Amino acid sequence: MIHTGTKDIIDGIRGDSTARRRAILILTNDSDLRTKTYSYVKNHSGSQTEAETVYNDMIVTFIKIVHTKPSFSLDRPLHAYLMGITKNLWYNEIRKRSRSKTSDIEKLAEQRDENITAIELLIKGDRASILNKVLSQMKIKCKEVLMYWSSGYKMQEIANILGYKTDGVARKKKSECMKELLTYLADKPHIKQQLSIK
Amino acid sequence: MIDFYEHIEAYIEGTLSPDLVTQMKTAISKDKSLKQAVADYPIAKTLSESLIEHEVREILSETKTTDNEKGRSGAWIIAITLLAALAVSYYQWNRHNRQEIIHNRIMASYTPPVSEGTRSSTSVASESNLKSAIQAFDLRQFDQSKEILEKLSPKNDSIYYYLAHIALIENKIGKAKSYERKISTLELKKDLTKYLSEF
Repeated sequence: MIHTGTKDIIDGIRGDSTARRRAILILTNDSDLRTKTYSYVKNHSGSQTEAETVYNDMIVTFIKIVHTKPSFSLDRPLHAYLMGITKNLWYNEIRKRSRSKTSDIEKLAEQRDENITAIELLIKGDRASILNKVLSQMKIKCKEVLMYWSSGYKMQEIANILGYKTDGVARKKKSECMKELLTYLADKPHIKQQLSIK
Repeated sequence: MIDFYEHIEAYIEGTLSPDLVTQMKTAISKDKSLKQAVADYPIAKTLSESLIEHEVREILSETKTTDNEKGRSGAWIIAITLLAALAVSYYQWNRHNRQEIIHNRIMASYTPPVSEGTRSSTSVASESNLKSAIQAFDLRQFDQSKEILEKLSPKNDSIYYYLAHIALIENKIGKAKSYERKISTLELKKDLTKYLSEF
């Protein structure tokens, strides 16, 4: 059985921006979860800063999973699921490090949770600042419609959440916004190069 | 008229009807912007997919900023408290220093009184003790004199007068002034005031 609070968080993530914001803040302010995550990272050769990064990435990953999967449902308590994400994220991080010992990697590999969908975090590393720059310049309405569309929401759902009269209006808005984004990219070849999205 | 931009995704994914594919290809060959849009579509889609992440990271960053601001205001309170404590310490140190300078100057020319106090007392025993205290004072045995004077009760002008002098010698100006205030004999009071008024 899923706890009512957990259901509110999942519904909030899949709802409008206000409900999602509320859900994110609940996760951010969960001191018990934060302690568990920080302890895990620090007990596996991570620093305080790395623990903080993993905590934020865990929240981002969870939101992305729930947002992009309409049929998402928890198969275990929320904290256990989120700790599964944490373990996967930290395993990936340790694997990237050339200085890590094979025994450490093997130990973390055993703790990985393969039942959790792997999600690529896009706003990371070198391209984070350029991505943030491009996305910040988009109009709010366009950001919203393209965000829901790219997460796989149906046009009728987008219309309901964003208050468009019909799914046709939502589709038209999405098309206009996509055209604007494509025009922006066409005018700025250096940005495409910097993003180096394959 | 067909808006080919609306069909780019289906064209890329291969879900467009054969008839539309032919029309799309013709349009792409004639329209440079459309050709570019088809080429850039995967990038635009990835950008769109980053939007949810962008939104979450912005909220997380706002939360962090708020925490930092809280931390900063906490740091300000600590800094102000430290400055206030420092200012109080400086004031006290400065006051003490100033008192020390004045005291040294006074002590340079100070001559302790010799048997100035009236030795009258309420009892024979007290009279004898007061005499011993004044004798100790005359012999510059101030600690001994003070010990006897403090025990004497009830107090009179002589006792207060000698206690005030001892406090002055010990640079306990607050105490000296408090004894001075209790003296009613004008002459004795005047003798102390000439020193204590400098502080």
